[in-house]
Amino acid sequence: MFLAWRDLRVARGRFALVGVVIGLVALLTTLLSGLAAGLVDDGISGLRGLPLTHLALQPGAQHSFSRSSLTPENLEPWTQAAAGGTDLEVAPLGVAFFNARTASGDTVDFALYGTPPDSFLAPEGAGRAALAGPPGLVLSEELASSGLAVGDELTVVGPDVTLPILGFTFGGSYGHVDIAFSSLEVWQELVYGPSAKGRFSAVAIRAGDNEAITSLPAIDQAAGTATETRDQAYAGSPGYAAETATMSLITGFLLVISALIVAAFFTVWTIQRTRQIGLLKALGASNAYVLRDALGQLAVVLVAATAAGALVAVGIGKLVGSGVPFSLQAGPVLSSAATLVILGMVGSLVAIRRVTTVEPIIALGADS
Amino acid sequence: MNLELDAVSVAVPDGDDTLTILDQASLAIPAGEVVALTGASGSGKSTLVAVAGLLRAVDSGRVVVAGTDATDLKRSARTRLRGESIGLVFQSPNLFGSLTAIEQVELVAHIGGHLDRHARRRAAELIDAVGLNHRANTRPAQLSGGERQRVGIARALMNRPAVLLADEPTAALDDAKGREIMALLVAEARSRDIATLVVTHNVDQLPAGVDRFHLESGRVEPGSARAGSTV
Repeated sequence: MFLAWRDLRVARGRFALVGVVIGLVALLTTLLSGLAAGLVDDGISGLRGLPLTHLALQPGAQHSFSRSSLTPENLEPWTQAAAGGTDLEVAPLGVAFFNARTASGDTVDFALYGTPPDSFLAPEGAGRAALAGPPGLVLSEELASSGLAVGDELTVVGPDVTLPILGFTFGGSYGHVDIAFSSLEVWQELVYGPSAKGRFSAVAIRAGDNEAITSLPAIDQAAGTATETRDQAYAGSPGYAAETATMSLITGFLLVISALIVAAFFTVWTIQRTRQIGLLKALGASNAYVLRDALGQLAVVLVAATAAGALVAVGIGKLVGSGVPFSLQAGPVLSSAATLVILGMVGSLVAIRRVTTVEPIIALGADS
Repeated sequence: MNLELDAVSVAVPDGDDTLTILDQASLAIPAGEVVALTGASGSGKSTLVAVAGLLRAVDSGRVVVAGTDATDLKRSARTRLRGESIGLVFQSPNLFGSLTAIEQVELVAHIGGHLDRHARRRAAELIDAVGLNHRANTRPAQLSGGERQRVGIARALMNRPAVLLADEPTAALDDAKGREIMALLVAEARSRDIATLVVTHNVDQLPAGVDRFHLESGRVEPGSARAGSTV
């Protein structure tokens, strides 16, 4: 990169311009990646945080808890299998969305998880003990910041049942509202009233080893349920599929646009350098030498601009308040930056390919 | 012979016909010999330089550079041989805008894969030899036309070539500067024992003792006189 480094240094204004454009695209893709991850968190972090691996729903429920209603008969084969010695735990889980009013008249939305206090799903520590006591709600930590406290009462709109706040547990949300726990009996009373007949939404499963996982289809068949992985169940979160598809599409478009910008710049740059490339070859440079020089220069611009854009996005992410769902993890940031660099390189292949076709005889013409 | 062109022919398509540029042209230059080639515009001088510099293939005939028959070499082998054995001085200096004078010379070693301490010292010596020690770290935009051509000469000498080819090296300079550059080129070539072919319109600028040949109808013919002996 003898020549490439010096070109970068001397023509820094020109490279800075395209670098700014690439950096802005990196900034946008990283911000979008943060928003997408934030939306995903907002949609499913309350489900992702549960210690389950699979969920058995009513067949045809299409990942959605609201379309799934199971009975104790469905649960029985699962309970028997779990008692059979394999590394398998099961628990009935009810999931429903509620709106409640505080004593002062404020409203609180939450996704209520109903599960037996002794199940593996029940929140650890004080939350589990609270669920085992008198009826009440254990709320996610996020709701504590809205001024609610243990002992406050919430009146659930619809069934008009008033329940005390028993405690707070790990943060998380489902379907863009914060989660709350109750015992399964409380959940059934709120959802079905006196005609609950033991119904719940799904069987939560923790399959600890391969043997347990391979046993699931047979149990499914006996129980009349349809088991899916936790990741598959994310699609049941309201708006999840549409949001992730929209974000992916926007990110994809940005990456393609970026690749086109990079390709256009390096095509023009290569055309302008045609005589210089011919001269290099006239001086004895092989195609490999010229390609290394061009690719190295391209990689430096792409990596530096992408890194700068991504870093600015991370900085902006730190300044974003809790009002916007935004979450940046190292993995997605690095993978979106790497994709940007790779697509930029791929987009420039046509320009770079031109390097190999330049004839050294053009060096006999005018100044390079 | 460091450079030998034996009955070289080159033709190009010209509409429905074929235009013969070089027709059985022959030329041989031993080490340390400087030969000037003249000819009318369009007579094929630059094509002959391109053939001798392995920048284009021939339709027939034989091209031998530094003892290697380059006629049927593959493109990559021709490039390697050119990098190892041929120095090129162009009509306009063809310098890289982003490199300083000394870096233009060092680049040749970098292309050859041996830009080390010795190569850097040699580049500095060559820059000194062409009288540009004080301008070593200056980029082409700040150099005069004559200075640029001096850098071009230093660059052409960097790979210790067996053959030096100069295509109208003084065409862009005024007469005084042209004489100065031509004298430098010939002196350096002779002192380094390089077989040198100088294509020029300005025979008056040639120093004494340079054999002259004339390109006419695609053939290399002996010139009217040895430059400097009679005018």
